[in-house]
Amino acid sequence: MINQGKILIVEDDLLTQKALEFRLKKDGYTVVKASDGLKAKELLISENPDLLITDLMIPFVSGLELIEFAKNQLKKAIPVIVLSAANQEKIILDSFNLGADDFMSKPFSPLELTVRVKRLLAKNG
Amino acid sequence: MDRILCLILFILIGFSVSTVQAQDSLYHVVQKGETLSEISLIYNKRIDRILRDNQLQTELLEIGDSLLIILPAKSTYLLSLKNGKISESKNNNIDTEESIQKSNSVAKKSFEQEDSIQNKDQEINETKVSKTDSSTNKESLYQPNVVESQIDEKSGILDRISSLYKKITISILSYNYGSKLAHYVILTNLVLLFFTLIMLIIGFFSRVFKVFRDKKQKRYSEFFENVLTHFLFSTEDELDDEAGLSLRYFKEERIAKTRRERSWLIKLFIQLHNDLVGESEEHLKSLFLMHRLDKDVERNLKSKRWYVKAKAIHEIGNMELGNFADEVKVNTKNQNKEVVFKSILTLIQLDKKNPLAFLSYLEIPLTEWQQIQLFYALGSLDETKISFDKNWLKSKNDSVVIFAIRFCIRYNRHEFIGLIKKNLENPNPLVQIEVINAIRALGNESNIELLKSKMSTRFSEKKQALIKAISLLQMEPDSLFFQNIIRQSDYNTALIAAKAFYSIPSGIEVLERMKLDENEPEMVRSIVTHALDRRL
Repeated sequence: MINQGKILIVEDDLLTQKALEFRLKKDGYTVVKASDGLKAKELLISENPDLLITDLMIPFVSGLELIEFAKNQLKKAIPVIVLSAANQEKIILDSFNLGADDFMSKPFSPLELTVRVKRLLAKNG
Repeated sequence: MDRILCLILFILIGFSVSTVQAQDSLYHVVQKGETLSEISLIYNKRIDRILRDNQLQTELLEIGDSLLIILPAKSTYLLSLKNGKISESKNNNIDTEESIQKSNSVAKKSFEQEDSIQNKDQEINETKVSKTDSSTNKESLYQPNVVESQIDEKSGILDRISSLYKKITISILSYNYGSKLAHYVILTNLVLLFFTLIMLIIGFFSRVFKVFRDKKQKRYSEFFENVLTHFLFSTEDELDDEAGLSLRYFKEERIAKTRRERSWLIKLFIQLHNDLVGESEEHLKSLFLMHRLDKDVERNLKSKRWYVKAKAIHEIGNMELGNFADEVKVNTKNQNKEVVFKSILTLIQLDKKNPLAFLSYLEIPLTEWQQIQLFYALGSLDETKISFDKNWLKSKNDSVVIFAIRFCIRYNRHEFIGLIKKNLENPNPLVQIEVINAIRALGNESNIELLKSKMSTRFSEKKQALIKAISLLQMEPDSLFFQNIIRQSDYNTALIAAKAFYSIPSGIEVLERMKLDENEPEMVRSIVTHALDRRL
């Protein structure tokens, strides 16, 4: 299968992380995983992914801080999808204000997620 | 757990040692011709003390009587061996250790003769001195050295234990062997020590077992996770050999055989089910039923243990197993409050058309926390489709009335404001406060006179709620009304009344005037100052 791109998943729930990884790999993406914000920052620099999927409530470095890092402090800004159980309006607005490209609340549909991933990657070339 | 057991062990050992060291008493067996006064001279003990220690009323003694003699610490002991019994007596004539050693050798011979009377299976090596006391015509004996005894090992476990016990006590209590109290203390401590050791061993093995079980659970969970994710996102044709094999095993129920494994698997199902919606969620549920995990849930639902039942109800709600709704409804009348509340939460998830039906027959009071959880559960439903029964506002259960009023406030059910207002006469002040909050949220200016008529209440929380409601509802602010409240109420109520001026035109100027008015009491000026500072 042709490699569709590299995606970094940042999720501290291992089961959700596994489900996401499997789904995305099945669609032909290369997947890199992190369970906390610190590790995610390292991987953003070292692995240079094409897209970031992150939860907001993660250890050490919050998801909002990670969005800001991915958008402003990398050599090349990458698209970000936020996948979070936090559904307060303020948090959603903060995510978009920091530059997130899409927001999905949990529980989520894996099928819907792959459609959004495909759309974002296509948009960013 | 391990630390607690070690601590108990150390305390017991310390107690044993201390009790042994604290023991300084002996039993004197009355011989022929002995009188109480003679015995008191021997031990340098007052007669009345001996009588008191032995609870005796008279000084008359009989041969063979055993008298408890409690000696002061670091007394010099003397041992004699007569008729197979070791008894102790104090020699007042011996002042120095040198004289003790000298007379030891003399007494040795007489003891060796008495040894022959001993049980042929027991040998005690002693060095004794026998000296005849002319004044008392009694043998006074010196301290022997009880070095070691060979314990006869007769057949039988009990005899062995008994012999071992004697050996231990002789070595520990070389001076106090005759003391019964010391024996009891040692015996008790040994028993306690034995049980402590047993508990330590049990604790150790339970720890080992727990570590082993946790590792097994982790291994199984990883395996189940792989199988589940494969199943959700793959067809059988797409699977490689290993995953396909696992999936076939899974379908044939070859994995998750034991009850514990199945409970781990159910937990994983629920976790995934909570995170996924849509097609994946439906697949999960079909796999759950295909694997007949609902039978495990059904079995647990019938358990007599409340925590097992509550867990099963929780699983029913999470997996949305609607076929168990009737059984869950029955459990809303369970004796255990946790089971009742779990049932309520589950019914909200199962019965989306009428999720609050349980309020009609709920007997237990709903706590604040439970009400929060109920509203949270309702948040996932379409609010326009949640049916409301006006009889809940007339319920005998005050917590149901409060919940119903809050429901009307949250979901803007203006049509029930008339019924809600009738609850102002409810004797429970908490209900009255909720009614005032409802009037504030759903009412209008026409309710202000009604609210003002209730201001004579003693309850400051109710008064504060009234002030907030009046300040919000009034179109033309009544500055004098709030000023009077500031002057006549307690601190907190007055502060709320002062804050009401924030929304009144020129209200801040009124507060400034009150602050500077020297005719106002100090307390009033302080409250106004505080209100002005907080606004900034």
